[in-house]
Formats: sequence, structure tokens, C-alpha cells
Amino acid sequence: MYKTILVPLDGSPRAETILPHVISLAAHYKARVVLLQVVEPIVAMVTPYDMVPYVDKEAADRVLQEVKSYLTAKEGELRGQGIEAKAVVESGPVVSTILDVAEREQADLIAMASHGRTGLARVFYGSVAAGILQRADRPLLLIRAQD
Amino acid sequence: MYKTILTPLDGTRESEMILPQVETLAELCKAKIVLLQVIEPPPPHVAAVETEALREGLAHRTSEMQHYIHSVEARLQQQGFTVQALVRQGNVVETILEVAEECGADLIAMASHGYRGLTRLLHGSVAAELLHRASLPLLILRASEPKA
Repeated sequence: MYKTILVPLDGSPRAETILPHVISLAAHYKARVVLLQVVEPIVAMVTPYDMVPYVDKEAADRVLQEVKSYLTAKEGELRGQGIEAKAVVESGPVVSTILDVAEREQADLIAMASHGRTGLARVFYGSVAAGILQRADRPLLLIRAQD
Repeated sequence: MYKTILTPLDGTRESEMILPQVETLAELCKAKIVLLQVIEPPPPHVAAVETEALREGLAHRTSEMQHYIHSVEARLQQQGFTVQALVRQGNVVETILEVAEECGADLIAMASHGYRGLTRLLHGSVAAELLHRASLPLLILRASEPKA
């Protein structure tokens, strides 16, 4: 049933806790796995001569490179287990970019770990998973990562 | 892979939208399906005043729900699934978590109604609440917006 599973990661071990679930699902369904990391634009607020915020192109490129090599390593791990995997790095606002990529890749499942904030932190910050939960138009597999 | 899939239903068409997903997963994994309908008791301040009417209403609702969930159970059984249907009273999220533990579920699959705006702030949604509390995987399908 699931042909393409989209897995948003953020470089943290917590986000990776979804991977064992994805691996067994993908193996059962012979599904393709798209690993996605969304990089939000870095805006540096402290500038030497004026107060105009600017985007640090160099830092952004460095982050992009790090993210790419991280995702490629994960992609290799999945392929090593016989799963068809593809790494995608995008920049933009996290939630809407995840949904755009899901649409573009025709993912029929989005699988991710939630950080499971509680109390006030949850009210103020929400979480990416909660944002996806409110907006996604396709099935979601979510697990709460332990702190 | 999954052995027991817990599927909370609430009697609405939206909540049933998850069933095709559950059926496919259960077939693939040869999993047992546990259907759960939770009936929330009235808040205490209401319960204190309207005891008699409420008790009747609750009894009526419970039997209605039992009828409903057993019809879903029968339909799934006809398709060859191992199914168990439960009707419980209590707080929705608490009860779902309790039953998940009781029946050793390894997946909770449900539709979320996807409230927006103020409704979302006030009521949250069962799925969002579960997301923050459940220690087992959740398969969630957001059902279309309820008509306001």
C-alpha cells in the first residue's frame, strides 16, 4: 500500500528514532524511502556597521554541506539494508517545505518522531510534528521521541 | 511487524476514514484489530444537577455506541480479520492509553479531525494529545475539516 515514505529528519538522534519503524515498513511494503532535511535560512542579526539583518551566505553553505553529508550517510545505511532510499535537502520554512516535498515525491506516508514537548512549551512552540498533524493531507506515522 | 492495532472510533464518518489503512496493515502483518469507542462522562458540575436525565442519556448513548461498534466489528470479521470491539467510559485520551496497554497494542491508528484556529486552542485534538503522551507509534490520518 505505501509506495513512498517521506521521512523528515533534523540531524538529531531523537528524529532518527523513527528509522527502525520506517525500515521495517519499507521492507514489508517494498516502499521507497525519501529522507528529507529542511534547512531554515540563517539570518545573522549582529552586523559590524549597521543594524540591517543579513543572510550569512557562507554559514548557510556550510550548514547545507553538513546536512547533505549527514543525509547521504543515512541514505547509505538504508541502501545497505536493501531499501531504496533517496536523500533530499531543501531550504525554507520547515512544515510547509515538508508538505511540498511530500506532494512532489507523491509520498503516501510521512513518518517522523515528535519531540513531545508538554505544558507551556507545547502551547508556545508546538512542534514540527504537531504542525504537520494539523495540515497534512496524507497518513502520518508518528512516534514520540523520549527525552 | 505490528501484532495488535488499536483503532479508536467515535461514531463519525471522519473517524472511520482510517479503516482502509488499518485493514491493509492488519492484512499485511496478520495483526489483530481492537476497535475502541470511548464515551466521556459529563463534567461533574452538570452531573450533580441533572443526575437522572444524564444517567438515562448516558445509558442510551452507550447502547447506541455498542450497536455501532459491533456493526463495524462484524463487517471486519466478515473480511476475515481478528477483531475485538470495546466500549469504555472515561476521559478519551486516558482511556485510549489504558486500553492500548491492556491489549498490548503496538500501534494506535486513528483519524484526526484536524481542528483549526480557536477550536483547536480550546479543545486541542485527541490525536495531538496522544502524540504528546503515547509511547507507541501513532498512525494518523487527518480527516477533512468539520463543517462549522
